[in-house]
Amino acid sequence: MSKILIIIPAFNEEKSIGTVIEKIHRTSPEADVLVVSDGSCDNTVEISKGLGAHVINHAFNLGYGGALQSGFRFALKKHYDIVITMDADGQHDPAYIENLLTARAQHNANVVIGTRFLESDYKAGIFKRVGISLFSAIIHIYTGKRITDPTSGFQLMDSAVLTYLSHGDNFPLDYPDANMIMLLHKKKFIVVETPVKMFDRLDGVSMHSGIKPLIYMIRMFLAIIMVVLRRD
Amino acid sequence: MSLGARIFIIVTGLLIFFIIFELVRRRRFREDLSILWFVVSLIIIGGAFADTFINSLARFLGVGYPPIVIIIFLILILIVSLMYFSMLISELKSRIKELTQKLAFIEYELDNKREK
Repeated sequence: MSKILIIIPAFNEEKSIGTVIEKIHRTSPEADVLVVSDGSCDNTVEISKGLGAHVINHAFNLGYGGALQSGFRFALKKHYDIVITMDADGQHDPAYIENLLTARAQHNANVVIGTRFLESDYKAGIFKRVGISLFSAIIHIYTGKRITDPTSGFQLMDSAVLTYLSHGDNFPLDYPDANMIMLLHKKKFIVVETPVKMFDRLDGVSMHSGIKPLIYMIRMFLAIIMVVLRRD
Repeated sequence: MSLGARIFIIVTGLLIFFIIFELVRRRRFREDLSILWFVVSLIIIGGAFADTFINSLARFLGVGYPPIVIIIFLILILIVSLMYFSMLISELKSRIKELTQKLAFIEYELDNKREK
């Protein structure tokens, strides 16, 4: 049986992290949970430890990608076969972890992306929808595959992918989205997607709020161009 | 160029040169980073004699007002310096990320050993 680790990057998520961990324990008792506290200064670490999760605590905020990469390195050192990444804000429903595992087995995939757009009635804002459609189109042109939700943080990866992404700067520090999917396709990994359910955030502010979406778009375009041009 | 202007530029260049030199001597400025600033101070000192070639250079570049060439040249030096420092910051950010991740993992292992 595969050893599964669920990685939850968290930055000051004391109000939602407990609920997320408890739900995971209920739906996937066989999986271990790792919370990567990315410089949190609230009780995220204490709550997570209290609920039996492994906790890695960054001295300061490295960003979403930096926290995920810490989790990948942890998974490799502790010999996990499969990693599932989930958000700490309660958007992802752990009941769908099973869907990711099934899709991996069916397609012999290295990466399974949980998409909110294939079956569920998730309502995204107009700008978010336009952005997601745009990046989906770019991915389709480059890979020939339809990925409907490239910004999803609910993903499964196997140890081959982890080994690659754990190395140096292979994993983007800030927003590992469409660029990462294209990079993994370029590296001949099999990427598929499967339907999952996503809720609105339990608490706090999304990392894609305010002026950030515009900066996100610019940085993502640059990252995509680099993926296409880089030879390594 | 007047003698006063020439002296002012040379003194400014020398001042920057010796300030950097002193900072390196006191180990408050790394030697590898100081090289760029030594070069900048030498260029400033050289600027005191810019009038000997600036007119012909401006004519060659098609610039009507020769002092603009000096300003463009200085701006270019600043841009190159800033690019160099952005490169250094990128490198340092990568190293800090590595250290932070390693430190967090070591802390995790240490806590585990303590609990056992």
